[in-house]
This record gives sequence, C-alpha cells and structure tokens, in this order.
Amino acid sequence: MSMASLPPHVEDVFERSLVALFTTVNSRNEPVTHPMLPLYERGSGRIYFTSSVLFSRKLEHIKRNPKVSVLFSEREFTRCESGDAVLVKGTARVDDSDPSNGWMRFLLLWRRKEPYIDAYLKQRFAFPLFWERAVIEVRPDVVYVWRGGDIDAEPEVYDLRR
Amino acid sequence: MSVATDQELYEQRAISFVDDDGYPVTVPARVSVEDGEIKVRPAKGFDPPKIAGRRVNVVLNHITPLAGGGYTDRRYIAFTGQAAAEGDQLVVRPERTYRWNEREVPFPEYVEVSTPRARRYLEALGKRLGVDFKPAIGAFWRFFRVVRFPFLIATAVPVAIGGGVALYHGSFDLVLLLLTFLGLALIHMGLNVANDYFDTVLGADPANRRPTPFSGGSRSILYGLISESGARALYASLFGSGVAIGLYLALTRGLLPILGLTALGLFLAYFYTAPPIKLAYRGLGELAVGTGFGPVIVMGTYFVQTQRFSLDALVASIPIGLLIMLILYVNEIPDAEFDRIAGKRQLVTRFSREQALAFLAGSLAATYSVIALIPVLRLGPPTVLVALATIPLAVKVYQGARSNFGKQYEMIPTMSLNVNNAAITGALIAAGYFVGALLGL
Repeated sequence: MSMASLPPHVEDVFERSLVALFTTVNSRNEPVTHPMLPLYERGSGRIYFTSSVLFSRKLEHIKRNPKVSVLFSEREFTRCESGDAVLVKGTARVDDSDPSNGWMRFLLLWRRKEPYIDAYLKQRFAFPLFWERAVIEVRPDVVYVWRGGDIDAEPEVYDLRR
Repeated sequence: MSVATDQELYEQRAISFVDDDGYPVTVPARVSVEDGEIKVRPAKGFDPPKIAGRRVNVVLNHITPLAGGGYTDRRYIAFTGQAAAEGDQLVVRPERTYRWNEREVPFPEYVEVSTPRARRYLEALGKRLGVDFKPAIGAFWRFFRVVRFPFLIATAVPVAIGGGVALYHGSFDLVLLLLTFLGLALIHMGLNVANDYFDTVLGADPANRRPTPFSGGSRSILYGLISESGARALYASLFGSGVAIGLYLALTRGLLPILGLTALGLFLAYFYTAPPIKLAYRGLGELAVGTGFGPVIVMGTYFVQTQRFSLDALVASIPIGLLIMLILYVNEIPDAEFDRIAGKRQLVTRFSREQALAFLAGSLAATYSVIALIPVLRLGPPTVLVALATIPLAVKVYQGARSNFGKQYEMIPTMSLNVNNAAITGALIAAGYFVGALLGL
C-alpha cells in the first residue's frame, strides 16, 4: 500500500495535528519521547519536523538509529472530528546541511499550525540559536489507527513496507 | 523517586518502548499514578505481555490550543523505568524523569540552559561540513546586538545635558557636540563589548540562566554571534576609535583636561569588568557608571564646547549620573542570584532586599532633589524643573522593583520603565537648559 492510498481520515490527522509524540532510541536502546509540531502535506508521503539545534539530542539519536515513532492522539490536539489516534512506526532522516535556512521551506506548513510564527521569526536576533534548525523527515513504515480514539478496539494496521 | 500527582493536568498519555523490530513504539494508554507507581493500560494491539520486561517511557503531555490557531501552556513529563505485567496492566516504577513545564521554566530560560548543547552541535556540524556555522542574523542586527546599540541612549542624554548647559552659558557648536557624542558612543560600545567578553570568560554570563533584554549581557559570545577573539578585537578597535576622537578634541579644544577625562572614561569603561581591577565585581561598578555617565560625560561635553569647567555643569551631571547608575542597579536585581554564583559582588548582591530597595528609593530621591535645587541655587534655569514631571514614573519604578524583586521575567517591565525614566528625565533636564538659554532665563 502506498502512502497515497492511506485513508483520508489518517492524512487529516497528519495534516491537522498541533502536536505529536515523537520517539527516538537512545544509545542505551531506550525510547526517548518528546512532543513536537508535525508538518505534513497531503499526498507527500512524509511527515516532517523541524528541530532547533538547542534540542539536538534527538537528532543524534536518529543519526545513530533512524527508527522512530510518531503518535497522534487526543481529539483536541489532532483537531479532527474523527478523534482517530494514529501511531506511525517509521524511518527518519536528518537534514542539517543548512540549519540557518534549510527548514524555511516548511514555513508555509508551520504557519498553518502556528499563525504567529512569523512574528517570532522577525525577532530572530532575540533567540538566534532557536532558529538554527534541522529537518527531520519520517517515512512511515507501519501505521496503526484506533478509529475514534477507541484504544480498547483493535487498531487498523497499514504496513507500507510491502 | 517521587511521581507527579498532578496527572489530571495532562490529557495526552502514552507509553513508549522498543519493539522486537527495533522500532520505538509510542502507544496511547490509560495512565494513573498511585503510591509512587505508574499503572498503564496500553491500547489494544500492544497488550501488556508484549511490553512487560522492557525499558519504557511513560509520557504525559499537555498543550492549550488557541482559538486563532497554535497553542500555548506547554508541559510534558516522561518517566523512564522498567515495565512489569500486573494482571491486565503494566506497572512502572520510575527511575528517571525528564520534563518541561513552561509555567515553571519559561521558554527563554529553557533556551538558555540548552545553549551549550546547540553550540556543540553546530561546532561538530561545522567540522563535518567544513563550514563555520554562525546563527543567521543579518550584519546590522548582529552589530546591533553585539554592541547593545539601544543602550547608547545612556551616552546621548548626558551629552545633550552638557551641550545644554554650554548653550545656557553662551557657547554651542553642533559639529563639536556630534563629534563628542561619536567619540563617547564608540567608547560606550567598547565598554559593552568588553563587559560581555569579561563577563563571559569570568563566568558571570554563562551562570545566568534567566537573561532579559536588559540584564545578563548581550549573550553574543555565548550564542556564537562573535568569537572571543573577535570580541577582543572589536572592543579594542571601538576604544581605539573613541580615543582617536578624544585626542583630536584634546588637540583642538584643550589638551590636558580632555586627555584627562578621556583617560578616566577609558579606565572606567575597560576596568568596569576587566581584571585585575574588575570594578563591577567589587561593588564599585555603580560608582564607576554613575561617575562615567554623569560628571565625566557632562563635564567633558561642556568643556569641549566652552573650554572651561563649571560648577553648573558638575551639578547638572549629578541627576543623570544617578539615573544611569540606577539603570545598571535595577538591571542587576534579576542578575543578583547568578552574579552571586559567579562571585560578581555588585551592590545588589551585597544588600538585603530591604537595603537594596532603600538604596533605590534614596537614589531616586537624591536625583529629584538635585534637579529641584538647580534653579534654587541659581545653577541653572527654572525650566529644568520640567524634569520633575517624571516623579510618577520614578515611583512606579520603585513599586515595580518592590513587587517583583528577585523575579527575573516579571522585572522586565520595571527595567524598561526605569530606562525610560532615565532617558526622559535626562532629556527634560537637557531641554530645560536649551529652553532656558533660548528664553534668556
């Protein structure tokens, strides 16, 4: 199954969510989870995050072990009527080749979720290191969906590796 | 290990573990905290036997979505430990936690404590890619931040007062006034850069986790906007350029007096933080700033204009010297906790809260008393009294400092008000002399 064939309600969740729990694996093989702002363009097949170098530990984790997961849950945070909870097991890639500007290609998607971001960006000189950012690209490998957020029901499973 | 009991503050709950395929998996879950243990019922499909025996993260997360888009009030907490099966649920006894609650640790502080990590990351990245990464802000804003450009108001106002007194005494040359300002501004910018350099290498700025736009230095070296060697070169060239203008003025307007004042100003500017004298670290920073931005600048400006000294100019320099000293003093209030750690024994760090507030009140009272005495003692025109109009601002500065003493971010409006009070009061004093001169009072 290709990403484009995922049900629209799953792409809705990717596209609309304000926060996702992003998990990497540290050098002790333990999960490390942080809330992050997910960015997604319908049909793109990739979930993106931008991470400031201030909070770069997760970037180092991904460079060592690219396997990650992303959880979207809670209707209020996914902003989807369906209330679906979605877990993505995926493979991540860090692009930090241009930390000053590389992430800016996602500004349009970022602005849709945080409309005030431009006002902060204008004050870039106030927090210069916050705006040095790496791009994390996640290719979903397996997707689990708990319809309506019902975690007592078996999830739908979409294995995208096949 | 204690476990947070404010679990109801977090809507999004999940458990993370590494599965047999090597993927980290974060599963929505019901989570409750009871008696120091965390009980977790993971979502169907990831039943407890699949997770038991593994290292897990139990994550609680909250944001408050905003009606207009975006969110605020971020907080999360993650408990790390070993999961054990207990019936149809998992039990986790947390061994470590990591967390962030922006109500407890405001975002600027969170950024500040993470700065060393960012610098290391960029340095390693730069080595890997063969690029010298610096935060991308334009040359103007970089210079603006490195030299702390807005603080030049503290030079402009006493120069205006010196010029005003000179005009009141019948001498005024605008070109000389602008040249004086340029020379002093260069030395002031040199002071700011030298202050950042020495506060960085001596540890006062790195120790400060809660800088504000008014306190904690410019952070330029800490943020990688300029290197330590670059800062040394910059302050040396700024001082050098300022001294060159001072030499020109000395040669054309009065050798020894202007050389003497330039040397005194340079001494105070450099040794404000530079070893071995480190005036600011010995409780003498306030005196240095009050003297430098008061009598030295006002008398120097007056001398360049009139080629003589005057008691009037000396008295006129006292209120602005006090007010600019108070800019420093009030800005030290948020820094005090960190300055103590770095051994920077400024006045505020030596005082108790009540002593510190009494010194602030006394200095403000002295400022306005001297302004009131200027026309009474016939040392200046009555129009100078217009500067008393800022007394209500001064009262608000005192009230703000009293209410927010020791609260770094809450002090920001008070620090801003204090800077405005110094600038407005000083400008009104200068205006009083200019208008008095024009009206022949």
